Amino acid sequence: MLLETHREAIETIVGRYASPRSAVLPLLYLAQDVYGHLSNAAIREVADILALPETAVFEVVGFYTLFYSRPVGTWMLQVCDDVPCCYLGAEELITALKDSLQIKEEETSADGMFTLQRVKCLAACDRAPVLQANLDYVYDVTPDKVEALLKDLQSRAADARRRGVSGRFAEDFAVTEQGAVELVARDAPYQSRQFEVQGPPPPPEPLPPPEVESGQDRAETRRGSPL
Amino acid sequence: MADVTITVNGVTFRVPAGTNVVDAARIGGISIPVFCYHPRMKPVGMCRMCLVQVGTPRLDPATRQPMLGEDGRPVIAMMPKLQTGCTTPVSEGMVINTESDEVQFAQKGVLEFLLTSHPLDCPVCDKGGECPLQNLTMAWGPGNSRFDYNDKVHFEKPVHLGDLILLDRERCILCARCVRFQDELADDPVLGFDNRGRNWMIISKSDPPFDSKFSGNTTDICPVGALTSADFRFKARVWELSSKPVVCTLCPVGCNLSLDMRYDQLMRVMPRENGAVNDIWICDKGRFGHRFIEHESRLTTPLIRKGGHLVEASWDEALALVAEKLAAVQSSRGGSAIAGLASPRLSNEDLYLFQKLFREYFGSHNLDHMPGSAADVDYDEHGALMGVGKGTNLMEMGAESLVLVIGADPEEEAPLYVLRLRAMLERGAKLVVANMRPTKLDRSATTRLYYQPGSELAFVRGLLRAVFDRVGHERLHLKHSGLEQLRKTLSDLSVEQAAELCGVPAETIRAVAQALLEAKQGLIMYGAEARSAGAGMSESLGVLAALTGKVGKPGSGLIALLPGGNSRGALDMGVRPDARPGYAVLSQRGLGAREVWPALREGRVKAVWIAGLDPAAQLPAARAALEAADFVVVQELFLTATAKLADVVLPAASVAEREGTYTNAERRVQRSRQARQAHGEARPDWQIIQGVAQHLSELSVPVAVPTQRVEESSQPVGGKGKSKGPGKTTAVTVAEPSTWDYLTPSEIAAEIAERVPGYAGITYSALAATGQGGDWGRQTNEAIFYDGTNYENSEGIGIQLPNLIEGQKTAVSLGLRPLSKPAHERSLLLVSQSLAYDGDLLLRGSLLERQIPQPYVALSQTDADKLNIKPGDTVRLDSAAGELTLSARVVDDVPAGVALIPANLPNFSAAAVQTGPRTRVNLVKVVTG
Ligand code: SF4
Ligand code: SF4
Ligand code: FES
Ligand code: FES
Repeated sequence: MLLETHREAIETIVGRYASPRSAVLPLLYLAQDVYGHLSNAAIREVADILALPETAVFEVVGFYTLFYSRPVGTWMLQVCDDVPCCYLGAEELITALKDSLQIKEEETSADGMFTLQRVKCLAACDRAPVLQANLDYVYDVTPDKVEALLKDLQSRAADARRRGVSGRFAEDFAVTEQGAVELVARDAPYQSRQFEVQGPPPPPEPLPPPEVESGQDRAETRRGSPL
Repeated sequence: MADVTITVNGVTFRVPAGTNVVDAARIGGISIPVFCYHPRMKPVGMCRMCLVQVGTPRLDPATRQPMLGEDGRPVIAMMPKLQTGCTTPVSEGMVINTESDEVQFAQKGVLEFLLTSHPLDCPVCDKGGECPLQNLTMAWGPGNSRFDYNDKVHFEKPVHLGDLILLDRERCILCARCVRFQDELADDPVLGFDNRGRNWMIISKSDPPFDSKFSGNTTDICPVGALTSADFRFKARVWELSSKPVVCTLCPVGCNLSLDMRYDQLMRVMPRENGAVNDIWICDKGRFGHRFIEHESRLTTPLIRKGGHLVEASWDEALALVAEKLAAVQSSRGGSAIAGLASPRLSNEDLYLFQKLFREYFGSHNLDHMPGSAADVDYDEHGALMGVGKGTNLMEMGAESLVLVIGADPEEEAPLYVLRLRAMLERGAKLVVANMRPTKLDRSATTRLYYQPGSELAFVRGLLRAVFDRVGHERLHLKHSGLEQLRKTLSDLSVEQAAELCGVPAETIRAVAQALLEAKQGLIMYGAEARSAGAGMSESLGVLAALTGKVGKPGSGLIALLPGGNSRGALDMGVRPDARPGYAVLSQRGLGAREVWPALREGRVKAVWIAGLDPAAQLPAARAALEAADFVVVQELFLTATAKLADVVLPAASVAEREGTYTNAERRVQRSRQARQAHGEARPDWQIIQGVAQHLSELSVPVAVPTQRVEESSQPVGGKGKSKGPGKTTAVTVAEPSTWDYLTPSEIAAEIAERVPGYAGITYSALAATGQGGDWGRQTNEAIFYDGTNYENSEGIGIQLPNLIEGQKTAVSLGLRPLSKPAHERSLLLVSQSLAYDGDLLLRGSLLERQIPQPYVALSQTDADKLNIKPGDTVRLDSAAGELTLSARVVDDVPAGVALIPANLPNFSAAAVQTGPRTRVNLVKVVTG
C-alpha cells in the first residue's frame, strides 16, 4: 500500500498543488516505480488517494505511453526508429538488440532485465542512433555497441531498480567509440556526434517566399480553398 | 436576454443573444448537422460536423460602429476559416452561411473521415433506422470514399461497459456525448477515454463498471450504434416498433415512457419528453425494469382454492365467489369485518373504486395502501396540503430558487430527481442537502450538512426558530390556526439548543434559514428517512414552508418522496382508514393494515381483499393472519407469497395492458395508455373491482352504510381533529347508489374529477389537451439532430393539482407536536435504507435483478471497532421485538450510532426486530464454531 510505504513522498507531492487532481501524474510515476508497472490495482490506489473517479485516472494512464500497464523489464529500452535515426542505423540497432536479447518488440527478455520498444523521435537526432533506457538518454548507439551497452546496463540493474522504471531521475549517457557508456554531465558543453563527412553538403534550396496574407482580403483566402 | 438579429443563408431573423449558431439556425428552420453537440450539454466542438461560414459586421476602429459599404449596408468581415457552429455564440448582425460549397466540402470531408474507421454494419446494428450517422451521411455525406476499405481499424466486437450497456468500439465516433452525460448531467463520472489516436476508445473503470442509475440514457444520445443496451440488443429493427405512451409506476417521479412494441411484445422502453417531469431522460429502473410485463410467471386466469389447492376458474365463477363470500361476512359480521389493502402502484381509478366499494358497499373504512409492517410510516399529508404550487416546473427553475433536500436519497428513491435538481443547479439554483448520512447528491449540493442520527426534527425546529426570530409570521399568508401555540413551542427551544441536539452548528442553521428566506422560490424535498421520523417531521417542514412564504405559489412547496408510483394517488383517493378521498378526516376511523393483522387473528376481521400488495412475503404476522382469515382474495400480477395464501386469486392487468392516471410526487396527474392486449385473461384492477361490485348487486346486497359511519368532519388534515379549525362536523349525504357500469377508466376519472377535492377538471380529455412535452424527437428536421434519442410527447404533459391550501378553504394548523426525547436503551438506531433496486415485484425478469444486494447490516468504522466487528462477520441484532442475524458491512458513509439495513429485499425481512419505522437495537458478533 503506497500510502503506508510512501506517505511522506505522497504528501510532499500532493502538497505542491492547489488541487489534488494536479498530482495525478507524479503519483502515477511514483506508483509505477514502486510496483514496476501500473496494475489496475495500482491505478485504483492512486485514484483512491486523490479521491478521483477511477475512470479518470485510467484515462490518464491510457493516454500516455510512458505508463506501462503490464509488467516490464528492469530496463525499458525505447529505441527511436524515426527518420534521422533510421538513416544512421536504427533498424540495424533494433535488429542487433532483438538478436542479442532474443525478444521481439514489446517483449521482455527471459531474465526480466530488458523490454524493447520502438518509439518515435526522441529529439536527439544529432546524436543518432538514440535510445532511452528508463528514460536515460543513450547517444550514439551504433549497432556494434549493443553488447557493451547491454552489459553496462545489466551491471547497473540494482541502480535501475532503485531509481525506478519511470525515469523520474533520468540522466544522459553517451557510448564512446570504444564502447564505454559514459555519463554526460548536465552542464557539459554541447557536443554533436563526430562523423567523417564525405563532402560538403549541397547548399539548401531557397524556400519560396511565404504568401503574403493581406489580412483584409478574406474573400481571397477563401478562394484559395480547394474548391 | 435581449435578442440579436442574424442572417442565415440570406434569411434574416431574431434569436436570443447567447444562442449558439446551431440552435440559432434551428430557430430559423435551418439545419446544421451535428454529432457531438447536444442541446442539454455544453458544446465541446469535437466532431467538426457543424462547420459553417461566419461573418460579423466590420467595426470602424475609431467609432466602434459598423462600417457601411457603398450600398449602405454593413460590411461583413467573414472569418478566414470555417467555424464550429456549436461553439460559436451569435452576435448582432452575424452572417452565417451553412450551404456554401466550402461548407459542403467540409461536411463531406468530416463524414468521409468518420467513415474511414466505421464498420458500416448497419444491417446488424441496433441503431440502424434511427441512426444520425446514417442519416447525416445520406444528407451530407460524400457518397463514396477514397479510403481503402481494408484499412479500417478493427476491434473485438462488443465489450460490456457494464452489466446493462455494451460498447462496439468500431462504431464509436468519439463524440464524448456519453462521457459528458455521465460527467455533467448524471454526476457519475464513470466513462472515459482510453488510449489515443485510432485506438481511442470508451472505457468504464468504476467498480462495478458503468456504475450509474442513468446509464441507459447514453444509448439514446449516442449518435451511432456504439452503445447498445443489453435489454434490447438484436431484438428488433426500430421500424417495426410502435410506440405506446405510458407512465412509469416504479417510483414517484412518474416519468413519461414510450413502450416500443412489436405487435404485442415489449421490445424496449424509451423516454418520452416531458419538460415538467423527466425532460428527455429516464432512469435505468424505468428503462430496464419493465420486463415484469411479459414475465412467464404472470397470472393468466383466476384461481380458486378447492380442496387446499388453487385451481383455475372462470372469471364469473371467481367474481361470484368473492361477492358471495364478502356478502356473507357482511351480513353476518358487518362490513367492518372486511378489510382492503391496495398497492400504491395501482392507478387512481383503481384506488378510487376500491375505496368506493369498501365505503359504499361494505361501509368499511378498513383500508390501507401499506403492507402493515411495524416499519410503515405515517400517512403523508403535508406533501399534498403544502405540496408544490400549481404551475411548478423544475425545468424553468434556477437562479433565485433553493431546494432543501432533507432525509432523502433521491438517487435511490426517485432517481430522476437527481438529474432535475442538477439541471436546476446548473441554472443557478441553490441546493441544501441535509441528511444523517452522506448520499450521492451531496456532491452536487451547494450546502451539505449532517445532523446526528435521529435528530432531524430538532434540526428542523432549529430552522423554524431561526426563521421565526428573523421574520416572525409576517410571511404567513395562509389561513392558519395555532399561531400562539407555535410561538410558544418555538420559544421553548433556542437555535443554540437545537444545534446542540442535532449537531449542526447554530450559524449553519441560521444560514440555511436565511437562504431559504432569501430565495424567491423554495422547494423542500423529503424522503423515506425523514418520514421515518414520524408525522411530526412533515408537519414541521410544512410549517417551515409556511413561515418562509414558500407555499401556495409556483415553484414552492413540499415534495414528498413516497414509495411506489402512486402513493400520492392512494392518499388522495383515501385508501386509508382515517380519511376519505381528498384528505377528509373521518371522525371514526377504520383499521389500518397494521391493525388488520391482529384483528384477523382475533376474528374481528374475517375477510381481506388485497390488491397488488405482498405483505406475506415480508411479515410473519401477516402470514399468520392470512392463514387465520376466513376469506382472502388477492388480485395480483404474480402468484406471490400472499396470493398463495388466498382463497381466490384474480389476475390483474399490468400498467401496459390498461389505461389509467397516476399522481406523481409533484401532484401531477398523468395519463398512461394501453400498450398491449390483455395478458391471458388478466383484467385491469378497476374492472375486477367493478366485477365484484356487480356481482354483489346481483346478490342484491343493499348499500348498507350505517349512519354513524358517515358522520364525519370536513375538517382538513393538519388540524389533527383537535384544534379549533374552521372545520364543521357535517353529515355527508351518501351518494346515490352507483350502478357500477363504468365502461372505460375515463368515466371513473370523470367521477373522480367531480367528487375528489383537488381533482376538479382532471378528465381524460383535459389531460390530453395539456400540450406537447417539448420540441424534441421526431419532427421535421429530427433525423439531423438527435434521432433515436426519444419520443415526442403526444399525450400531453399532465395536469398539476392545486395543493389543498391553494383554494384557501383550508386552514393550516401550525401546532407542532412536542419533541420527543429519544430513547437510548439500546446502542444503535436501526434505519432501513430505500434502494432503487430492491425486492419490488416489478423488477422481476429484468437485468436489474442481478443488482439487488444480499441482506446485510452496514455499520460505521467506529461502531465496528467498538464491537470488534470485521466486514463479513455474522452479527445478531436484538431489539425490544426480537432478534435477527445478518452479515455485517463496514461502510464509511454510515455515521456512528446507526445500523443501516436495505429495505424491502426479496426473501428477507427485518420484521423480527422492527418496533417501528426506526428501532433501537443492540448488536453483537456471532461467534461460530
Ligand atoms: S459511444 Fe457513442 S456517445 Fe460515446 S463517444 Fe462513442 S459515439 Fe459518442
Ligand atoms: S425515475 Fe422513477 S418514474 Fe422515472 S423512470 Fe426511474 S423509476 Fe420510473
Ligand atoms: S529521429 Fe531519433 S531522435 Fe530524432
Ligand atoms: S463540433 Fe459542433 S457538433 Fe461536433
